[in-house]
Amino acid sequence: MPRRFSYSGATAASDALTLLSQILTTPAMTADSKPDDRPTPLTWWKPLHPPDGACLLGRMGHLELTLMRNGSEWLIHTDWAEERVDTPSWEDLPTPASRLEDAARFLFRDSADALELRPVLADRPVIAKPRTEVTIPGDNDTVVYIGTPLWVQLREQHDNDLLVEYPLERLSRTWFGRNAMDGDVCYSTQTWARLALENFPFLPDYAMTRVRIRNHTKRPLSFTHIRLPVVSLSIYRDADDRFVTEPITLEQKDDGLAAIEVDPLPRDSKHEQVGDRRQPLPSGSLMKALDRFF
Amino acid sequence: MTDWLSSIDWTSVLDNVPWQNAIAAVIVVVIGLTLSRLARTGLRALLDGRVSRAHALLARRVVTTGILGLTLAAALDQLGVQLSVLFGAAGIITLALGFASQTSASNLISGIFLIGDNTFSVGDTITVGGTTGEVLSIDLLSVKIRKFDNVLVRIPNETLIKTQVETLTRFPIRRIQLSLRLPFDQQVERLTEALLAAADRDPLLLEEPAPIVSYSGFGPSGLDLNVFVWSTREDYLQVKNNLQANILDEIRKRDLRLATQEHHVTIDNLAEDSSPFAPLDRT
Repeated sequence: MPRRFSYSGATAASDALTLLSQILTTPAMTADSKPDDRPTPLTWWKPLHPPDGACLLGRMGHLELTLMRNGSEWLIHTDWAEERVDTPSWEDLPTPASRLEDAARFLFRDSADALELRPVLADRPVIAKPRTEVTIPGDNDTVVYIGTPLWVQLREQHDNDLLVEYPLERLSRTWFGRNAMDGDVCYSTQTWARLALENFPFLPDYAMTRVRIRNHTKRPLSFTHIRLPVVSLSIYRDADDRFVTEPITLEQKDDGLAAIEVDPLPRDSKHEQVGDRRQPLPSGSLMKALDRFF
Repeated sequence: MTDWLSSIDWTSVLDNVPWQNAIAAVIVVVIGLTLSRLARTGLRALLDGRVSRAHALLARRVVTTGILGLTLAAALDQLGVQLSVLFGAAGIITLALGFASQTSASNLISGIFLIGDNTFSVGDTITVGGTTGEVLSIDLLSVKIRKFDNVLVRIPNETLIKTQVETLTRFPIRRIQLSLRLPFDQQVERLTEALLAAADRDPLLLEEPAPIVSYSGFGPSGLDLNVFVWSTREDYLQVKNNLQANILDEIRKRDLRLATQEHHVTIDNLAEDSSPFAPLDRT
């Protein structure tokens, strides 16, 4: 049984021991866990300072991330776990050789003793599919919450250079557009599209987005797909240590297109930004955001 | 033209040209060359990234050639050469060249149409008459493509105008079709399930447009089926390979089999004596 590895943003041994105890005492997630019982995802997103020659295995979602520091070199390898891991963890590996045989190597001029792990959203838009068809009557609006899988960026801590990034979940790809010529390749995820954030289970590898959908038409609006422009959203940590994004508003027009706006978070909210958006949302753009079928 | 040029007494022309006009002609040439260069640079800055490389190249060539032509005409005018005679001779020469180089002229005009048509651009993968490759350049006379076995092919523009051209990389996604035949004694539902399971195994394959299995008719030894899936154009080959491997795997797992070319011959009502398979020795 591998022992848990102590890791820390600071070099102090006491800090590392505190984090170690946090990890060891973190309970498994259940759907009806209370906030106090929840595994905090933030313990996973700390800078890593392993000693030279040490090998770490990090688990989050379906991703197994193996890292080894070897002087001025970092070896990085990923695998997909069969089972989803709800409680993020780090542990050291005593015999890493077999795992790292085909690892990616990152070489530095000087010794790079720390890696930073940063959460980001997907590098393409995400199509969220509610489990069942959703209908909003004409001249009406609603708010749903949708979770989208996170990615992890590995950066050299001192220069902040991006080395590589991986999704924490295996994402399938899909096409979303008016036809096979006009549209874009997106990631696909299923969602319950719940009406309140509190009704969601705590998923440390997902970021929650509040989506207001306004049906400006006279007809009922039925949809099975929602296109989320996650490349244009930043990640924040809320008061419950949950990752959230800025809210967005989709205003459905008569021509089948929707105006998409990224709303700022309330000023008085206790949100701390932990990840940047990849690119700004084109202003005033109308695009297909809701659909029933291809 | 040669006769016309040799008929000109250049010594007397130059003797009769005032030195001021000669200097003016030189200045006109210098200004023309400078303008041509400025126009080329300006057009490059203006058009690059905004229009295709072929369009930008055509625009640069038309503008710079026009400026150089006007410069030459202005310089000759300064030297006292009668341009009307020159243009008349040029017309005759053009006519003669036109007859002599119909193919080149056809390719040239086809090239202009081709560039205007914008069916493909440099970097696209196209199929022309059974030849598939990446477009390296679109010139006024020909298009050069690199086949996947790394062989350069030059296709005259006239051929491209007349032939069906398929641009494989025009749209972001492509459909993959595989044809199979199921023996009559096998269950269609089980094979359909196997095909969809095979499609579901590949994360590179697009979820939507969703994979489809369709029955295309009864063949000589079974039911013909087609499976249609979609992939991004970059993953086309990989998805096609994965799909075939996964289909084989799923078929084996389910103890199914695909039809092979079989011919059943039934021979009825053959008299014993006339049967070709009757034993020769009946004793």
